[in-house]
Amino acid sequence: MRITTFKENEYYIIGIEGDLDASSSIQLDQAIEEAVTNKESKLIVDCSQLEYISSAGLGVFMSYIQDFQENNISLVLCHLSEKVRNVFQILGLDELIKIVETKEEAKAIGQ
Amino acid sequence: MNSKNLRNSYFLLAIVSWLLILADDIAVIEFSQSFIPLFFSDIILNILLSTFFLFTFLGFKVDIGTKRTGHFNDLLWQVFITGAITVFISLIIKSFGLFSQNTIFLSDPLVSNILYHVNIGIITIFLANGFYVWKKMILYQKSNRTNIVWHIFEYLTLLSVISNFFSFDISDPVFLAFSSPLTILGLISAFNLKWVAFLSYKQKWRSILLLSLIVIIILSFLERIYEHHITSNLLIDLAENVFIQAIFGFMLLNCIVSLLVLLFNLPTSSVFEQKFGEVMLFQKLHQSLQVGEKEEDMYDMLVTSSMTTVMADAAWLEIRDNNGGLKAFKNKGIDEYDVFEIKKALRKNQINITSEPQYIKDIVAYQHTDKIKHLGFKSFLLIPLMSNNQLLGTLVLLKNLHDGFDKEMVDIIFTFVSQASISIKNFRLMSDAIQTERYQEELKIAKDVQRSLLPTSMFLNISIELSVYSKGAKEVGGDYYDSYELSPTRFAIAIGDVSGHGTSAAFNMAQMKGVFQSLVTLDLPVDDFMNHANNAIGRCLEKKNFITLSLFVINTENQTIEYARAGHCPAILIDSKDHSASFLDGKGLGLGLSRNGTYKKHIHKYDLSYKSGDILILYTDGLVEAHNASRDEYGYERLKQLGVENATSTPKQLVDTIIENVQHFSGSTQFEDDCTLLILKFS
Repeated sequence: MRITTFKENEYYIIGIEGDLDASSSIQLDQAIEEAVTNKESKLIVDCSQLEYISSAGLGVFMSYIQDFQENNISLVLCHLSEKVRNVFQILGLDELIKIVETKEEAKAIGQ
Repeated sequence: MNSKNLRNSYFLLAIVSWLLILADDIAVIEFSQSFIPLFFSDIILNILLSTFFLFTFLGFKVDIGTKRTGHFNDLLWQVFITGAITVFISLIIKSFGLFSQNTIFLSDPLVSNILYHVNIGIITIFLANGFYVWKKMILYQKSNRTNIVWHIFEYLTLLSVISNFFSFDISDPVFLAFSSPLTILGLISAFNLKWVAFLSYKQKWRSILLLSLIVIIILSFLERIYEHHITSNLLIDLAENVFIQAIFGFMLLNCIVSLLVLLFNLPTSSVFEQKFGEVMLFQKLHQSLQVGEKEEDMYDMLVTSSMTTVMADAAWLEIRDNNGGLKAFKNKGIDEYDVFEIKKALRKNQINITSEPQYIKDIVAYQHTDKIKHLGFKSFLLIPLMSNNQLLGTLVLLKNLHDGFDKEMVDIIFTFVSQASISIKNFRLMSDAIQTERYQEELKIAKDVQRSLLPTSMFLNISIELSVYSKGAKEVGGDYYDSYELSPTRFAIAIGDVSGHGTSAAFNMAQMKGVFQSLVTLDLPVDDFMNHANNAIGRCLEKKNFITLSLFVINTENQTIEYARAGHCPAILIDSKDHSASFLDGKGLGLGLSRNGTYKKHIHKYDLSYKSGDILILYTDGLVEAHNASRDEYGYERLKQLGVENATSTPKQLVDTIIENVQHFSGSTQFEDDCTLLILKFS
């Protein structure tokens, strides 16, 4: 698994490649933690290269949801494969996390 | 024959020979001339004398040869004591002669000869004992060559007993031909003095004393022999006996050579002792590498041994753990605060611990050393403890002398430290291994706990046929299912999955079981049940953990099902009439995912009715996420399709069919994740 982070204007983009499981979720956690300490408020997670997400991977997103709501930080996921999207839907997470098709849509929500 | 018996028979034969000599004396002197021709008697006497010498020597050869080598001082002591006792006896004999000076006693040839023969006996004992004790010392740490030289010498010496039968002149060429190789071999052997090197300073002094006393004893014997030679008319005169003279000469030579070597060795013996001590320390350090010794003890020993070896005035040792934190600290001859001050001074002078050892000849020459000047330490040796390029710690040795460490010391310390580094590394590897083992043991316990949380039997009702498959993964997973009989016609059945693996999953599952068992008895509507469960779980679980759960309340009287799905994989209901299948995929958020009191919004209650023969398939994601070698997942559709195709099977048959199909698909009988499958058939 590989995590890439970069800034596009005011958006902080986190790209995830490969499988997000128990061992690799720590890296994602660090990336998000870093964004929070850098006072980033518009986070977009690009899941176009994300092939699999385990419950531990989901747990990382979940652990930030409440913090983000309280601190007005937006978190949007985009470019999810059908399989990954299905995992979010079955868990009911699509109701808590904004999931959109493209990065542009994600930016529009972040406005 | 064992050596003890052999020795005893030799001694017995020696005693018999000696007694026969006495008898012969009496025969010759008392009944002289008349019975036996003198010439003939002489031969008998010489034979007896030779056998006496031979058997005495052989007896001591066996006796001393079989004894364990004691210390060299003890061996010399043995020679001295034998000598002292024999001298004492011969003095008593001499005093006989003195007291009876004016009588005919002394002039009586019989008496004087008998007394002289007693002397012969004790001198022979002294010589035989001395000869074989010396053999032991000469052959200490022998080489093959020394061994051969000695044995030739020994047998030639014993052979020289024959000389009793002849009387020689010193200038006789036959005598010279025989005696010169013996002398040369004796000389060569006498210089094998390896034992001297193994004596400590004190022992050397003791040896010198003992050797001097032995020399005195030898000389006193020689003097006695010559005195008799001159004054008495003797049948056997030791002064003319080549064999006895040769042994005396050998012992005297050895004593003198040993004495000289010991004297010359005295000044260097302290250095030797120190080196020997270092070797012993090394051995001690090496032994501590063996398992069983505590890591702490090894640090202590490293500090102590290093200090002793280089005669340092103080030392400290710092051991770092894998993250560079201080793990152990040992100081000797210096207190912690002074160590701190010295380190500060070193840092200010840009002297940092690197992978290379550093030597400071005189710290006073550096700056910022005002605070440590009063301590008196001048030269410092800083040695890093390295293993595989990893810095394990530092050993610092301090001396009050300017430039106090010489090259030999430093080399030894380096070897010391590298040995110690290896053992520290070994200790670490060992503790890591133990840690891993303990972790695995814990996992095993967690797994057992987890399995024990699952029900051993489900409810029994004639209108519901049920079959369960549940298989734990290699790791501890979090699959959970449970049931409860609300009334004879109403049953609650739950299936869930706790996120994460390992010990924490097992604990979370225990929480889930507690929550389920306490809430289910309240007979709440299923959405309320989920809401309460979410509250409870949200308070217990870590933020990043959650639980998916589906709860079904089956009413067999009305043939209805009430259910809520909290993020769990949707169950499949198969219609018995048209063999169609549907996912019960109503909306619902996993437990613990929303903890701000808004969960109620995300959970819904659904109602449906069933007919006889309908099948309900409950499962966990381990089943649908089972994948094959090309990483394709088994998926929901395959499961649904299989259910449809086997709509008329019994639950047991269907469970077997599905599990077989999934295993066939994944190409393995071992699921990577936990896998649970519950099939209910209504009647």
